[in-house]
Amino acid sequence: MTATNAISTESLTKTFGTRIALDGVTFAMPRGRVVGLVGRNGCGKTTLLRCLQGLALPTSGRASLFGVDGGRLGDANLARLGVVHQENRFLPWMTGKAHLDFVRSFYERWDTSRERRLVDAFELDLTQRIGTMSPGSMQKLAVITATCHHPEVLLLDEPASALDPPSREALFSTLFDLLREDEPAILISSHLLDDIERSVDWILCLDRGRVVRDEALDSLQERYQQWRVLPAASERRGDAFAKGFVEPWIRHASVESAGAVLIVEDAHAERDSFASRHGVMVDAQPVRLSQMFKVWTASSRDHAKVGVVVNGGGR
Amino acid sequence: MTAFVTMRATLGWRPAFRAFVLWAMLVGVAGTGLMARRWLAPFTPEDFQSAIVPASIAACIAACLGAMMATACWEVRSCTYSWAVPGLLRSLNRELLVGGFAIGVFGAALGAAVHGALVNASWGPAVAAMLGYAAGASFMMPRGRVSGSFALIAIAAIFFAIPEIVAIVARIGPPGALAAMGIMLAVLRRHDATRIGRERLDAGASWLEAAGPDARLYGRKDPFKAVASHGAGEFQGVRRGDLDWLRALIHEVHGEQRGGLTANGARWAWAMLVIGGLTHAYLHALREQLPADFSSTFFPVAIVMSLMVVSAPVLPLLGVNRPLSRRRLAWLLWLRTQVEEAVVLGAVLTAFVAVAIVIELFVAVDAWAALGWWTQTLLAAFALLPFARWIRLHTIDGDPRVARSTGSAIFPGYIAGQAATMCLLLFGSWGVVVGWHDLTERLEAFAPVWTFGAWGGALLVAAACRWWWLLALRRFLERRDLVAA
Repeated sequence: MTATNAISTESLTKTFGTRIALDGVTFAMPRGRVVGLVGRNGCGKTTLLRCLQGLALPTSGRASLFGVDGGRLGDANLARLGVVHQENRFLPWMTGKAHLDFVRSFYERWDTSRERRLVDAFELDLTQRIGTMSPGSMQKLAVITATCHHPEVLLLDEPASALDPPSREALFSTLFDLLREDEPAILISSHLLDDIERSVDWILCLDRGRVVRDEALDSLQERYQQWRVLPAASERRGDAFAKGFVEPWIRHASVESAGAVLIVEDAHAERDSFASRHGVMVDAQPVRLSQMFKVWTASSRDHAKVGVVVNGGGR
Repeated sequence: MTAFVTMRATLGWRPAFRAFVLWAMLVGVAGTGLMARRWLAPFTPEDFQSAIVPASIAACIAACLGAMMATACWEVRSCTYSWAVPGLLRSLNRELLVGGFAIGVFGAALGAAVHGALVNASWGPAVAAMLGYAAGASFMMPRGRVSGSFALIAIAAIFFAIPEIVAIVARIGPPGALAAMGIMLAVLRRHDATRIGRERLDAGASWLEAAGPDARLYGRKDPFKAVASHGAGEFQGVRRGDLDWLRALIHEVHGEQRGGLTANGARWAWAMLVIGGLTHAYLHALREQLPADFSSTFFPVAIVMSLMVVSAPVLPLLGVNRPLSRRRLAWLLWLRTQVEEAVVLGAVLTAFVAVAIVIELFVAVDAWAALGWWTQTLLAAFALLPFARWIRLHTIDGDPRVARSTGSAIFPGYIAGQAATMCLLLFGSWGVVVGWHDLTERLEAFAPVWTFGAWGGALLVAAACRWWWLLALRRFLERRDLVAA
């Protein structure tokens, strides 16, 4: 890893007692990249974000921002960092305005025009006491708190989980504005894969504390395809039909009434030979992130389920 | 410098309520420490007037201020954003330090005002203030329940040793103040915001949150959860009978505490002994300017107040998905309050008997006579409890804002409700006992047989109060605005 990366980890391992939350995680991302951190519940996403900020200390390995270990971040580096937590806790007796006034005083680069723009976009009532705000409003306030000082690294832990669709829209357009203006490195952890898919350019997928994918989303979308397979002869249908597909690049197979749906990896060139070998018609389509996610995270858990995963998706 | 702590300490109801609780606690600790000291090694009235009182006042104010500021700091630290905001935690440290120096200057000024000039002896209040400030801040800066207890012991020790402290400082002067400043800096350094932030978050935060400042003051959270099942845990079938549901309700309220309802009863009895004993001693120190029966009333009332403070509100039970009609829920809640009050009554009476035995053994006082008086006042307070609960029901539990907020003390209604409840129990039980004695004397003069009849009448009145409480609960549960959406 080089010091030029805004975010980097090296063999990062974090354990809580006997439970391994992160197991040798290594990745890096430069400024200007938006990375979607995805994974199933308890796979270590939040722990990774906490290690990066220094809120949790690695059991072994390194987690760094701007080349500095998370636990050693000083004021100068913290001023370049913005964070939105999964559950935001503020001082409930403050109004939204008082909170922003309070936080603003700690940042030299606080952008009040951006603050006003975001408040308008989120339709946030700053005269309201935080204790009486809805979780969604608190989430919006957290986003404003994290972004108005032109952060160079933005860590977002489920930032849109409590937001309604218009507010989610506003959040992601805010992120795009940020990218245009400041080019920060943005690491978003989320279960809303459709939102992630249209917002990020890189995917980091964790499964049980390990990195199972660290790759550009474009590359993944090019490498993975969904094949809708229809038998040429009508009698060949059902499970037996799908079980005949044993090629190593088939990651997932499911049976439909008319045929089968396959998720394949790096198999563009195999399409015609596959069709002729099995005597089927193949209709290739792009794959959604949510479909790839199932393949990556279900491989080891669900391999016992017949017909769900054929060759595994995890590396 | 953000002036955050100053702003926090003066804004809203919750800090005022917290300050009141802290002040009451500190005055109690100060009084106990000084009384114990005086009993072990009496000091002269001159020393008491010229040195000990100013130093005690300075230490008390300083400890209260330190605890308030530490609580405000902790509130900010508990926010999710605090760790990432550059300079925030250091500014909190600075504010805490400035508060310590300011209280030291205040102590020195107080000493100078008492002695007419800044002489060696006038540094005594400054030293006491800085030590008190450090101990107060330490008490409310959670580093675990055990260290919090040590801080409380340290506060008591400071007051116990104030005569020695002022005597030493009177001899050495400013070096004593410098030493106290060093101790204060070392203690505050130990509670450095940045260090605690790291430890807190790395530890998973939950246990420290449970041992946080408000838990120290109000005792609402217990980090050492050991569930007492009240039989609820063993219940495997479908709840049908009232006893099943009663167990469940008691478990719901008291199961979180180690030992459950029994332990709560013991806690209340213990609180009664401490609070009541202190109050009695203070009133005695006032040369009994107040009637003796008034001071005795504090004993039972203290525990009843504890009961009112810690008893669970009714409202959270509303809207919960239970297959119970509101009428039956009212009945079960009523049963629960009867059980709770019976446990309290039993615990307090047991404590009384224990105290009386000790007094009989070691002091030449007829404790059993006093025990009778206490028992009567306790029963009077017990009779009044339904009214106290009714006040609480409508001023605290019945306020949807309070019920839906975790920080209920920020609402004026909460404090008003508690104050009204305390006043009712304090003056009501005293009035009942005094009135009852007048009545029985008159009845005895008229016809001795009426005495027993009057007792019976009192029991009937108490039963009627309890029946009325059941009706009030039913009416309360019919309120549609209290049902959770």
